[in-house]
Amino acid sequence: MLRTLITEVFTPWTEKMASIPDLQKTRKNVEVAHAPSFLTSVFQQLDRVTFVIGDLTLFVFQIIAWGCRLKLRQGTFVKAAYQIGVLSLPVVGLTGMFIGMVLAVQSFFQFSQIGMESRMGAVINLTLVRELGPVLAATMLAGRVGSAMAAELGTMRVTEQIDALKSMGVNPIHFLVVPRVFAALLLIPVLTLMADFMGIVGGFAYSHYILHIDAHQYFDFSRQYVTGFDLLAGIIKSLFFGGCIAVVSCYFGFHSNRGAQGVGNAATAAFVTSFVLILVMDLFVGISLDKLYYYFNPAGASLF
Amino acid sequence: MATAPDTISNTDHTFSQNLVETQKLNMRFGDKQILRDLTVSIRHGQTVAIIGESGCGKTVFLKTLVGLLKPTSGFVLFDQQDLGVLSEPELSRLRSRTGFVFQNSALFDSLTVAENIAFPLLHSSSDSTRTKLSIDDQFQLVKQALREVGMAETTLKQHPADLSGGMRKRVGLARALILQPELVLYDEPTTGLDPIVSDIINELIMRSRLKHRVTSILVTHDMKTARKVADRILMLYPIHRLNEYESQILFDGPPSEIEHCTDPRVQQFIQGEAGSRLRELDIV
Repeated sequence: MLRTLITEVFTPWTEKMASIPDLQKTRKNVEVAHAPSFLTSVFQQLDRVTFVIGDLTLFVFQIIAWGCRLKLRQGTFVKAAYQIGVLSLPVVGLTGMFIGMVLAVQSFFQFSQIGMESRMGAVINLTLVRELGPVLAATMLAGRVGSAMAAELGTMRVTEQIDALKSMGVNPIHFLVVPRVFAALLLIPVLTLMADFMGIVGGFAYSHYILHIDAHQYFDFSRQYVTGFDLLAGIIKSLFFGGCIAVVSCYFGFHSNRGAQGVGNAATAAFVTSFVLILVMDLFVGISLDKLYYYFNPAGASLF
Repeated sequence: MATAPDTISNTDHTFSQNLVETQKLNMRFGDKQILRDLTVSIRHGQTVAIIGESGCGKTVFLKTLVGLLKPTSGFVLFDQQDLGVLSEPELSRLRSRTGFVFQNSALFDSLTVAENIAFPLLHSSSDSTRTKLSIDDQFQLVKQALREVGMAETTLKQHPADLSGGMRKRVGLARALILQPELVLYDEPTTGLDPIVSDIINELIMRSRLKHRVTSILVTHDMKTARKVADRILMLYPIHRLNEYESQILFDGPPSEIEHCTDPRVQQFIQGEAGSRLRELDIV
């Protein structure tokens, strides 16, 4: 049965396909293109990554130059600030609260085993203000605002609106990018504080009301181990994240390819690149800040 | 040996009279050459139509004239200033002396029609006295600009997405003309419009020229527009169809002479006949 199906249906069909010269040609071309291509494609990718890094650096220099030169375009700034600040606040607060509660759930079991559940507040709050608050706020911002920025600027590129700006003697980096970068830099610390605050509230609420940990001890240990520097470190990190999200998203939007797919790819590339860079920067800025802290304060503060 | 006067070129080579000039302009995108050794001079007050089939580099040429694209090699001189050596702010100031009407109008879709037309007044780095007027006076200018392109004041508060293609084009035209530029560039001003709206756009281009004595360069493949509006036609041809030493400009002269041009490729274009090209179609 199966054999007859193959001989009667597939064989004539494959023969027919093979007899079309163009298809043969295409197949041959594909094989030729793929055979020696592994190294070539690796080099091509490296070449592209190097180009993007160089181009992105130049883009940053242009943003700095235009940012210093003239007064800020208020219209674009206010719109971007509204998008970044006001509209992102609820979602950042909500996710922050859940992360706080999740931390409480996850750490309780481990800490209760060694009888130290009263110190959970220190761990939860330190993790929140140093790591999760800034990273969470930045991730939400990259997803909510970064990809929208890339898509908006990409559409402007595709529909020649960026060329139109230039043709009217308006520099598009000054007009479109600088206000967005300023708005992100100004407002991401606020979002981070919101994520921190809601995380602390969520973590405490779960620990106190559900896990029945004493509130006084919870906050007393927190106060002991979470220093102002920890909060500051989180905020300094968030400035790097905010700048990175705005610059990367605007860059990909600015260099979007034509068509709906080009704009879609720009939005995806903006989010993925921002997210990777956020985590990479989180590591390096974290290490640098710690080094700086221990340089000035060798005794340091330790958890246990 | 005295050479015969160049009958197909009506450009005046008096240097001071040229508003825009290109010298040995080359443009490449990767391996693909789009423009090759283009040397063109355009005088003050001329209306030049650049014609040619799709992909021959008309729009690229138009964009290099105001520095929206940088040529691979060669020079563009605008009012005797080399665009290649200007800094970005200087280039911006120079661009504010020009108006550009884009193929798809390129109106800012987050702004209303009024804000779009007023945009150059409010934001360009132009030295024009119009940018220094009070907001009320500028609003009057916007209303007047809208009237000039034959649109009702009720559209002022609408967004570009609510307008038809012809209306968007007219708003684009009003925006390009609001600073009274010296040079207006039109990228396919009538493409995709119905014949009546196309003719209205043609009339508007001619009127703007009579009123302000602007220099206009329009890229089009609509022969009707080229014949009606232009006083000089320049025909470009795709590089890949040319021999190595052939000029990319197949025709350069007044519209009345294009009918008598002996080059079959020019005739093929103005008659709109595919002719031998049909053989290139891979019909099995």
